[in-house]
Amino acid sequence: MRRVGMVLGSREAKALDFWVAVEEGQYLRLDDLVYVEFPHPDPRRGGVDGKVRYYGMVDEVIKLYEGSPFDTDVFLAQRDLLPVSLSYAAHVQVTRLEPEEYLPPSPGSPVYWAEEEALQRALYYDRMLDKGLPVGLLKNGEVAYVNFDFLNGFKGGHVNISGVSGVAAKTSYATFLLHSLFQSPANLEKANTRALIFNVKGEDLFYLDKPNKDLSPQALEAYRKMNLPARPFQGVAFLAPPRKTPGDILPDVGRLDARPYHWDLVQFCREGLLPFLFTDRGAMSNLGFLIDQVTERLRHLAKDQKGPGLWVEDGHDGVVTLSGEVSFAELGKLKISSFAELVDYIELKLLGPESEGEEAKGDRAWTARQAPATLQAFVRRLRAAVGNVQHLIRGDKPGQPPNPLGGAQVSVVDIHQLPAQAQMFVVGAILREVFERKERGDYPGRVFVVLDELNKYAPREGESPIKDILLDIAERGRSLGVILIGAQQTASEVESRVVGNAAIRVVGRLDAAEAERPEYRYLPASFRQRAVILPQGTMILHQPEVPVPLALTFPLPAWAMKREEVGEDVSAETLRGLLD
Amino acid sequence: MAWKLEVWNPEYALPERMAEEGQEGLEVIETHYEGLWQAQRPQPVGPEDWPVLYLVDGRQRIEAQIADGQGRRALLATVVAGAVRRDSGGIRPVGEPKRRHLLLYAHEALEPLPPGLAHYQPVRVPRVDPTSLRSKVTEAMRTLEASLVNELEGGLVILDGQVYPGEASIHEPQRVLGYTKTQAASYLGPEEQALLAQLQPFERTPIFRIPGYALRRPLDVFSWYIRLPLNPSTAFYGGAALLRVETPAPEPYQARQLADLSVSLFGGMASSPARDPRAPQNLVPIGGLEQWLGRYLGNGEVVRRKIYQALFA
Repeated sequence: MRRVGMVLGSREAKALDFWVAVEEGQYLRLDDLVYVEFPHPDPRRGGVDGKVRYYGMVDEVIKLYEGSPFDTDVFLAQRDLLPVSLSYAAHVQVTRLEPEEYLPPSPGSPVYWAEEEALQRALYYDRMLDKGLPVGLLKNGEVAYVNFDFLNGFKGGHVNISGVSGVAAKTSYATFLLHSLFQSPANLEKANTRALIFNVKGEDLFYLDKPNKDLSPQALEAYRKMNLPARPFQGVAFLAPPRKTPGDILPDVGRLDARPYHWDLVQFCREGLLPFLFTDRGAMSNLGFLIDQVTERLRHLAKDQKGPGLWVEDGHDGVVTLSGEVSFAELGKLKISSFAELVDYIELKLLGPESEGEEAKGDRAWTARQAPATLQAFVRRLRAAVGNVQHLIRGDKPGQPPNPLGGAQVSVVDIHQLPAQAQMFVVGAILREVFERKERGDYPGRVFVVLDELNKYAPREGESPIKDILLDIAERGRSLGVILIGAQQTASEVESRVVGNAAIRVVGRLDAAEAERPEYRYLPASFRQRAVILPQGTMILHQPEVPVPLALTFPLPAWAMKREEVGEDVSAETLRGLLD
Repeated sequence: MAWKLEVWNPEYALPERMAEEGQEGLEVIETHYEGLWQAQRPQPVGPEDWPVLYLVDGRQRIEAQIADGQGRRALLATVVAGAVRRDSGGIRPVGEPKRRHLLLYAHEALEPLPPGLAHYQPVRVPRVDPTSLRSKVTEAMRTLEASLVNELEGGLVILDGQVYPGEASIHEPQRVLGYTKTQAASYLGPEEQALLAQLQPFERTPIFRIPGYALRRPLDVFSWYIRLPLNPSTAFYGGAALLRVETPAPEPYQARQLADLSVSLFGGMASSPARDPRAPQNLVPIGGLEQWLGRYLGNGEVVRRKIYQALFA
């Protein structure tokens, strides 16, 4: 028991917060953990020895010359003219009361450092038992834990990370969380845990399986302290969109072993992916109805087809290219073998043959009684999408959409070079697939989805199919085992239900205006102030079980976060292995 | 611009009483120790070369006037005295201040005070009119200050107020200085007094001797006046920035040395009119010391409430 000071009497001491006068030679910093002990007036209601013990965290520290009314007194004191009395005080926010008797501590009650067992109790680690997932180091060097039950969906789920790009290291922290949950003993079902990461910036996440050559001894020590191995991810599948060049399908990234992904036309139609090409459904009320109708017709059309091209029974010369091989069942049908042709076909169905001019009428089964203006708007939008997605939705090769629930533990899906519309499509299509498979019970384990720029996919205003999926995940995902680790620069621009459903909220460096918004009110004022100056590698984490946020640091990732960090293994053994 | 502002807040009496018409000064004052009667400007001594200094001051508070069943009056008062030490290690209070709680009464057969007020020590005084009671409290405070002086080891002791001989005599008179902020009396004759108006900041008069019998005290002192600097000075009337310093040192050469040093000491510790309603005479360290002493006096409201409780318990 190291005494650090006493509850002071010149300011109010309350049951939930009080001030400590720091003794000479001692010190308290922000985030330090302390406890105060004092006798209960009724000893039978107290705890050990009839005493009450309040644990708490320092959230404000001040020094001043007591009773010195003038600012310039400091100069006189410095010239040894004015005798002054220096006061050093710290404000403590109570985190835990034992027993739960809400008494104000008396001035003069001793205050001690919370160390070892007391620290565990102050942060409720004793309640986490073996469920504590290491998420970084506290300022005092102790390990910061979250209760894994609040991450894996059992009691709560979802993580939300806010912070300024470039400084807050949101992506690094998200990968660090993944590393922890793949390696920590708190996760009992590691083999049944999958992660899906969307790579939105550069090729940052394409070296997750390579060691980081800049890893310092201090960082290694930090990993050792958290009982996590300092090694890169294993079992990572890298998936990239295909190049737009004709010919073989090659991944459009520097990494040669990345696998290209795309959907074929039959998959596109059968799985009803059309809505993900329309990001502004709210803009025209009738359009939504029409999208559903056309999606349904396409699904019907693709039934029992194998792909990759789509066979249709009617069409016109402009649409169809006859290929050399035609099976008996396909006789009399026409084949659509590119996304552009599919758009032509849909245009024919909605607006009728061009040759009929003004009199042309669409197929009633498709048009859903919509006015020609709506039909034209629909076609116009679809045609605008062709350039963006035709290399992703194609009829020439069997589709290989990403399968994050497959063999690889981590799937990195690159979308950073795609146009915005294609990004929406890819994210929406994959998330829908994952969610539906989990709903059907296809996969027993948990999937953690890392998605940056949530503000783009689930903006506060407006409606879109992908926002629906994200809302579904946020609200029902935790019971299904689909956990969203979402990130964004500004939580205020993200749908509040998506942020609000995150049990664990993390804040890196924020800009000053953002830090004042109501989305961050769960942080005490001192933390909001601090969020504006947080250095890289420091985060503020809030979890349901601990009533105060934790300021924590996390070590440099043990895996490379960019190409320059890759530490190539050039040992003779490895090279020999490559040659054989 | 002819008009200037007096530094001292009007709530306090002016530090310099207007010399009354025809006032002559004391005839027994001797002024011959430094030759010609003219302003002295001693070599400045920087704060880093100052000797170890003690500054001693006291505070008093009359806490309540009470009356017993027969309407006989008594007074509850607290006096406190303390010192700060300035040396190479900085400036800080010396130990705890001395404190006395007094019950002043005049009549015989004192009724005992209730238990809550038992810490007030009865002191019998000849009369209970307000003026003599108050001067009795001041006397008790001076006695406390004087008893403190002999406990301070090494260094120069500066007392706020005249040097007051306590119950015991001062052991080393040559290291004690007293100073008065207000010039209630004129000691010098009109010709010598005229020099005071001509003194510049950091200048002093020659020393002069005030024999004890002239002031009805058992102590002869050497004394001199210092003109303190005013900073800022433009808006203020500098004529009142006078301090009279005295020492019980027996030898004239000791007094002269102290007088020379005192110009730098008091000049360096003078307070600023921008901060202190009694600048520049209310020295900066004394201001800090008084604040510290105030903490030991306690909050007046609280003390009064305690007396209430004790009397009606």
